[in-house]
Amino acid sequence: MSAEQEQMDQFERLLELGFLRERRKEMKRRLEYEERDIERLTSPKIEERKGIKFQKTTSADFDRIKFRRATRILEEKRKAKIQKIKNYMILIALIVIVLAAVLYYFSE
Amino acid sequence: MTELELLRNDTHYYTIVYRQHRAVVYQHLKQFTKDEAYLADLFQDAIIVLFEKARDPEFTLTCSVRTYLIAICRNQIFKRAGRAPEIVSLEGEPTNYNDWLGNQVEMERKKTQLDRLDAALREFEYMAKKCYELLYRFFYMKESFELIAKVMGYTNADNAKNQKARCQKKLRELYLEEK
Repeated sequence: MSAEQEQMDQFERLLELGFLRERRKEMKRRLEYEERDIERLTSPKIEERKGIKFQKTTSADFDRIKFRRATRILEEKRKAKIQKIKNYMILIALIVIVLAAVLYYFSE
Repeated sequence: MTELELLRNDTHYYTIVYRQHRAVVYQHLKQFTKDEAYLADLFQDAIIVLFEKARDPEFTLTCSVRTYLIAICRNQIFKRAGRAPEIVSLEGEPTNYNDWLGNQVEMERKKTQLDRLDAALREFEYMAKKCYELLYRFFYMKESFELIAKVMGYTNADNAKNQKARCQKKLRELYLEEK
């Protein structure tokens, strides 16, 4: 194996670790939030805040995946395609009905 | 659908697993320590181990998720205390989490390199957005080249693979410049 290839492999491993570390940090942050949320529910204390009276934070706010999942995008694309075909079929059906009505009107 | 399948298919299901099993696992672990913060840290790590394992299609569970989580926590208690045995077997399920631990140790060892890589990645995200997305999808979201090709408009999986190699090279140059 050439030295350059070896360096590339080392960098790939570093990259893998970098993203893994980011994901673990992200999950840990999310789970810490869950823990605090459970604690707040099990031992509620009156929280007095100045300024902002009510600020809603849901666990969904912690979803920090930067891009939408490919499977979801492809599913949305598939649904959009089906919807487009349906729209075209409705349009064609309407045109046929209108044409039939016009023909019927003039044939009278 | 089993819990393992749900963990595989839903990226946020681990938070539900956390809420579902927390009370019982804590109850079980209180024989070792009463420190709630320590318990929370252990249990959170166990959930992350389970999530990462679940991503592996070859991984199967012969015991319940709860039993598995308890076993990982117990392993961690022994490990953190520097005591043997490292592997605790519950209901015949060996919960070897050494690969997870191995990665963790490697991350600590390469901390400075990884911090520099993080800085390079932040810059790369603005410089080459599409390249960053490709690398993010592959390494972070663990998507296959086939899926990446479909969603990012490459002609096929091989093309996406070649593009990934090019992006990686570009990022490496940036990373070396950061030195």
